[in-house]
Amino acid sequence: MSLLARNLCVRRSGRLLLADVDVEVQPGEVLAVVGPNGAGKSTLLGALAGDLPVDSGWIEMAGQNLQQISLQQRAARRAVVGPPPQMAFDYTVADVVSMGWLHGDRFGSAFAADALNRVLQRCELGALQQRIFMSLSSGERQRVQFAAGWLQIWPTPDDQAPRWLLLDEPTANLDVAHARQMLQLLRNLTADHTGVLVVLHDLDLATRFADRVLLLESGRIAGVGTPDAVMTPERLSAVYGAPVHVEYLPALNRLVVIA
Amino acid sequence: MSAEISTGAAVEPRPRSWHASLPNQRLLLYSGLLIAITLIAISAGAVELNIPGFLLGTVDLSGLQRAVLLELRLPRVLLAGSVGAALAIAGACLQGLFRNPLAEPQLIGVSSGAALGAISMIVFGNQLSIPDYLMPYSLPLAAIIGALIVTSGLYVLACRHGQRNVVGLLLLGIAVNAMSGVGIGLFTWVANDGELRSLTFWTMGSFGGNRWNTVIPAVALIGVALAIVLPTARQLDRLQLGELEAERLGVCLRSLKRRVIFGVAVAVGAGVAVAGTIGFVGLVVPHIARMLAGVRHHYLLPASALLGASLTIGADLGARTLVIPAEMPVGLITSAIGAPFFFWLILRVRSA
Repeated sequence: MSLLARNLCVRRSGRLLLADVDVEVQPGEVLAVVGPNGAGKSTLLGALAGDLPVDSGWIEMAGQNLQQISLQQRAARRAVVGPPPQMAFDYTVADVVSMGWLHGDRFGSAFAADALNRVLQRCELGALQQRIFMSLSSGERQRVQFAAGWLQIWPTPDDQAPRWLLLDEPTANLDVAHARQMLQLLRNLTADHTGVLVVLHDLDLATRFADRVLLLESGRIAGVGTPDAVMTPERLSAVYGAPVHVEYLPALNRLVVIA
Repeated sequence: MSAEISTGAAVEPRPRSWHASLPNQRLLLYSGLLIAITLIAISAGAVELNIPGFLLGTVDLSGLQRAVLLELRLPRVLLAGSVGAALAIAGACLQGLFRNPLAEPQLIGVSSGAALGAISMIVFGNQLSIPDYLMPYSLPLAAIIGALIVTSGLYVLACRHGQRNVVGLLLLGIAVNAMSGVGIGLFTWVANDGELRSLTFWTMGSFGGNRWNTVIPAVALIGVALAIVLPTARQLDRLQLGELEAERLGVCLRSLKRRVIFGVAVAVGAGVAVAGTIGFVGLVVPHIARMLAGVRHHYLLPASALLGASLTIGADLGARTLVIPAEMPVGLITSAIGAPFFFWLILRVRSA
């Protein structure tokens, strides 16, 4: 009952973007996908989200072939948080976040309002909820996007099945404190029977918050496993083509990656 | 962001906040406005009718007044309201579909495509030997086909040249308008006066000269168009995040686009076939509705319909009462209101 891909190949205009990639995101874990620019991180996320046609391989979500699941059923099971959109009209933050609510009034409007309020509160967007989305800073918009994704997979009384959250560089525009808080929120989400796949550029954040790390290098897997196993200085330096320093800091009781 | 674990299981009932119900109250308010303006519009005109008195039973209408009311005033006001609602909701839908605040049926050429379709039917229709009693339907049908071709063509082009190009859509609209303009001009010039209405009618619009036999098909088709587009509101909201994002939220883009394009074509085609092209209603009304109470489509679409109906009934009232016994083209009045608004909107979009 996980989100998994087997022997995944994606080819675009003659170039192999993903070559024979195996990946599995189990409910209750945070999998960080890291790798240099153009390694295929976003392609992998797009394929798992069902956005892209795959050339060969197999993707399944909770035991079902992804191709045979309707858009609505996919949306009920997994949310994708991409870069913040450009909007032509003056939607408020609350409007944008509530677009993630797919159940209408099925559980009563009080339940929906409660879910919305909790998400806004936990993402610290309560004070911003009546602001116009396009007037926010890019970091704030990114947090709004995240909140909408979270609301999309909010647990409902009738359905306790596993859900997945796929995030493409959710911390790109965030300051250190907000980036850390977002990763902590992702960690907390796993308690909810949710599997998280997060594409990250910050190797240190990945080491610190992920259960497992998937290192991609030009469409191939260069390493997958616990952060301790994958984040070795030799491997990272070879993949990134630049020296990467990895050290255990006893004061913090964790690995620190300095690129 | 707090670090509380989400369960979402416990729900304490919470009273609905006052602004959650605000849009519905607004819609009631707009309905009241529409009723008021309708009463004024059926009362005023070359023959004054005391409608409030008649409804209260204190005044009786003469035979002539009854005839004016039933055969002229009522169909005309009903038509003006329906066409206004159709154009305004079509504008709101096009703006949502193209994610472009400057989209409008007339500006981007949908109306002139519909006009060209209707004119072609008038000029070439007699070769199809359509019976007379079907003519009131064949005209809107041809207009709908014209509008459908333009709308779907524009959509394909807009997608190819990038959704974010706000002004590019207007340039495409200018080109479409120019091409339809040639056809409209040519046909109205070639055709003899009996079969085709004047060029002014097709370019400026008028609600005059319609009787129940043309009004009823138009109103019915506009009703169908409203029924097609109104349920798309929530999906149109999600589309504003982008096509990919909407799909990830479970929106089937193909059926949404098909539905919106078809609904817009039916609304505009049915309106243009009986009233010509009336400009700027679809631009001004949705923007005013947004300024009044927000941008979400489940409010915006009905609000546009109600306000659009009010605006057009008012404009038509002006068109037929300002210069009695002559009549102004109604599009002149809506454009006089809409053009400065359009100017302001362009400046605002450019600076944003």
